[in-house]
Amino acid sequence: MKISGNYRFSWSSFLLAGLMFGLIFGLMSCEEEIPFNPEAQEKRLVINSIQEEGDLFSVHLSESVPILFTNFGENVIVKDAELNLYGNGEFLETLAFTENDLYQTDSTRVAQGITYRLEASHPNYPEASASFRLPAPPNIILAELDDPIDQVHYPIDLTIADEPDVDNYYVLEIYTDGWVADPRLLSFTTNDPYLLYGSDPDPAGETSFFGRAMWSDAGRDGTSIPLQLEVELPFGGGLWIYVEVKCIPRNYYLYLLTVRDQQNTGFDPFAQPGIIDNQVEGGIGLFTGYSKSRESWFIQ
Amino acid sequence: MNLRRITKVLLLGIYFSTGAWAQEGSEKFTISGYVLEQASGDYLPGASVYLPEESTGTSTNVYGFYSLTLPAGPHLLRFSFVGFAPVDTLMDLRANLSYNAQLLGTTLNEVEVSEKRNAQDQLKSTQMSMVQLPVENIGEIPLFLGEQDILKVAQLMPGIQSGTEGTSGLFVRGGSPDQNLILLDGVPVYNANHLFGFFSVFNPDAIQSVDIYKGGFPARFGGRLSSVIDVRMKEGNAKDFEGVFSMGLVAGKFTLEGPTLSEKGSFMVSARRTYIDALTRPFTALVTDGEAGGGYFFQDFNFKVNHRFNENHRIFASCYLGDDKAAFRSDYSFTYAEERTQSELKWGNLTGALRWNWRITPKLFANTTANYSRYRMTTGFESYYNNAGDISETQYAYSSGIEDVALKIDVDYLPNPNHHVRFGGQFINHTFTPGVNQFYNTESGAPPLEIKFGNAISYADEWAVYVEDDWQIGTRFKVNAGFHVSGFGFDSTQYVSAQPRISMRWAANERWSWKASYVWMTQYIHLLSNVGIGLPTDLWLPTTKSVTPMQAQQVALGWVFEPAKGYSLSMEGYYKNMDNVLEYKNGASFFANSNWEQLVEQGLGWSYGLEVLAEKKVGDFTGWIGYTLSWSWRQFDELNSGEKFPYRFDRRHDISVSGIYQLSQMKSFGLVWVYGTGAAASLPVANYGEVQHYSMTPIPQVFSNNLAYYENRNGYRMPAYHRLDLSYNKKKITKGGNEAMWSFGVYNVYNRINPFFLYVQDNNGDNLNELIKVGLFPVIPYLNYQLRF
Repeated sequence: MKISGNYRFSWSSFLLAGLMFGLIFGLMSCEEEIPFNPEAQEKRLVINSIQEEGDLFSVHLSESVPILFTNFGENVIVKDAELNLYGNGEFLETLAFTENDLYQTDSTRVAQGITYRLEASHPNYPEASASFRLPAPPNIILAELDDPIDQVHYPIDLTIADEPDVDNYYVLEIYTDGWVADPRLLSFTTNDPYLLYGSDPDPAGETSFFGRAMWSDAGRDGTSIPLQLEVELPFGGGLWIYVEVKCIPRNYYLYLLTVRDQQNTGFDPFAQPGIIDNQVEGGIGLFTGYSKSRESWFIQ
Repeated sequence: MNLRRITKVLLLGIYFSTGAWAQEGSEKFTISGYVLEQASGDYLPGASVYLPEESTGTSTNVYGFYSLTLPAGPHLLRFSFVGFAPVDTLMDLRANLSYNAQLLGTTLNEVEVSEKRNAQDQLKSTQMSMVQLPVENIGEIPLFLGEQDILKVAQLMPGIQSGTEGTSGLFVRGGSPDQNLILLDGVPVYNANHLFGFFSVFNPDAIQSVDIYKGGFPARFGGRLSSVIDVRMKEGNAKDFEGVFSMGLVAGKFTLEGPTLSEKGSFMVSARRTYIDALTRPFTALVTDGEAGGGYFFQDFNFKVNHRFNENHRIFASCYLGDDKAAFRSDYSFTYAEERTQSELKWGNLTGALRWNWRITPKLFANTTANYSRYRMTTGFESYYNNAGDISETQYAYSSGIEDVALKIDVDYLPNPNHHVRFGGQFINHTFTPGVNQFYNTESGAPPLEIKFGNAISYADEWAVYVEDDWQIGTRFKVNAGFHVSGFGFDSTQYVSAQPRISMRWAANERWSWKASYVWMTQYIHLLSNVGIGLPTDLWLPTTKSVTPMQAQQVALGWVFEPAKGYSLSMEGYYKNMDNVLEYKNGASFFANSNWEQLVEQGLGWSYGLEVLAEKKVGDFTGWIGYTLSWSWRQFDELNSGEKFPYRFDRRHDISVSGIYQLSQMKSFGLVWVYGTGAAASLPVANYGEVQHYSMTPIPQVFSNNLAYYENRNGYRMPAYHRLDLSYNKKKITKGGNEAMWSFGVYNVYNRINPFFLYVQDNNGDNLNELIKVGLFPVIPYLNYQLRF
């Protein structure tokens, strides 16, 4: 073949062609599909249940969506499963499916001092089971609403006596009886390390919308935990303000922490994977409970 | 044997046979001095000074110094070093003597010199878990893009694993990269990476030796858990000028060495720079019509000079300066508006050392070093926008780094041939800059906004003292025992750690020996790294009140065997236990801008394994096969539900084959093949709904499949890593008598797509997504030219 025209070889065109060829070749050859392990395609039972002391047991049961499925959609409720509840190893009751898409006990209520175990089975899914033990409610030994700093900022002193020789996990929530006056937890100070649920309290943001904080007694077992709170009521007084302290099992504490971590990860490619704590054997989710103590004040 | 040597041997024979030595043996004198290479005047570390008639001896220290205290009378001393003709000298000791031995090189090729020295040390020394890299023939081993890189060669040794594709990160016996103490002429280098970890900062033309300790650490080393990588720059030829110039696909290098003007010392200067920016500049200008531009380069500069005042005093000064810089700018003009942006990312190390060798007495040798090390990363962004007179200007800057000022003294004391005592201490002042952000914005008609945020600069002091003795007990048994005591002060928090170290060697015969060691190590500084590949964003941070020092204990048992001349086989088993190792918390990120102490977890780590190294060191074909069988685990209270999980770079099998075949004196062929079990990764396997309950709502609420479910941390295995590289090297003597070498090679010959990362891809038209692995480097040829003059 004869090349016509005034073609002249040049090193720059040779280099350019080489670079382009290398780039194309590199991009084409550097991606490849790899098979996922078959277990990843398997759907599992998702148990979601948070019980308050004295309540009937109530369980939301759905199925997980394998990660390679393109459409996550709404939760698919699993309706015809068998859910058996055990207390301290003894069978207590089979939960019945109700019209509000929940499985519930008929008579068994959540109580302290009992290790509850829930076993869920369905022919289309691997069996799932989970357990928890309800902790004793927190002992609030001091709760004082101090004089307001101004029209909307209220300091509260709170001291909790930590039960010794027990790993205690606490959640603190602040709320009011009026929807237009949801408080914001502006500051949460203590001499000990603590963890906040959500990011730091931010008066401009919504992260402390429900005024929630959480911490564990690790490293200060059995000592009183003094807290200084500053609450903002953006729309002033004329309502009740409630401060609720919950004692939660470790599985609930880890779940709250790790869900927060995963949600904070967002789309940050440099973030560590947010792996949510899962204590459900054979399945996924959370089966837990809490006991609580509450203080309230009426704000003029 | 020449006439002089026969005469000496005869004289000695007569002397010993008459028993004259016994009458004079009560008084002792010391002979000391240096062993040097005759041609270049280089001091030879590790040279043997042996008394064949008395079956005892010593070896030179890292500065080529030796000392022997012997009974008065005549002694035959044999000075030897592999690759050099041994020199026998008869000394009649009547007083303390100073004697410098000069050795002449033989015709052994460089590979054989390096490898045989290594084998000798392995058999005789108490030191185990140590490799000496073949720096001399690194140019003939095929390497990534043809760029010679000592850390890439280190990755071919058993027990030292690479991280992700093409990067220089070292993972030694299950440890993380921050657990490696990388020393350049005794000065720590905090980020040994260029180009996001694809190349190391060490220009091999400027490097004399690289010793890597994976365990059995002598008491003189401390401060890291997993390894000490002791890199020494060349001293420079003290007799003649010589140099090296080379060019490859990525970078050009130039090195010059020679005697100083006073002729009482030598110098070495070396520089390297990439030309990626120069190559890409015309293309970016073409594509953007000149409105945008940018580029990337890295550069290194090494300098070393020494001066000998007299036999007792010598000083050295050395420095290293290295930078990476990536920049981008744009300048757009519209009818009514003008926009300019400029951004820059820059990082690099600066190290300097001033060293003073002092022979205090014939038995006492001191080395005092003042050194400085700084690693700094800065990034900035500037924008200017003018829209019909409304001007907006924004500036953002971020900086992080670490800076050390240190003073160190090491003393060698050699009371008699059976003991080599070392003691010393050091003090380091650390300055940590763990991420300072500055933001400035101004807009027309508005007051300027200036914000400074991030972690505060902090200071810490670290100190250490040590003593160790290399003690020959009988002819077969040798032990190195010592203590390393260190401390760290940060704010009002003080930590002190006493770390026992012991290594033993039992020589069964001339062919094989057993070794065992136990070490305790403490590390006070931590590296926060998101991906573990040596990104410039990695942060060095101090131990604090809440983040405690890392500690490790390691035991190892080894066997060294030389079945025939030029062949060696070594095996080592080890178990390492680590406390207070650091991991990012779930979901934590470098960009979180939180207090760093709240981003990390401390927990346990442990690793164990078996390493095998088979070497052929002589003949036309030389090389080695390394195999590592290992496990590495981590366990943290708050991660993976408190269950143990594999370390990200846990690798069950790791094989490396490296060989050079000499086709002729001037032509050689190089081969590297590596295989490694796939890296561990965390991948979600399903989605499910979150349950939430607040006191003010009556019942818990369940969201729709908004959470990702991971079975385990690092529970997924990427496909195995393997790759073959080949090279062909041809040397030629130029008309001017210089040696030129062309190297042509191919990286990843069979185009294996080794995964760098994985992602899930939406597959339109199907109900299933795909998992895609992305590799970085397909088959890549390279060409390299080197000229020695």
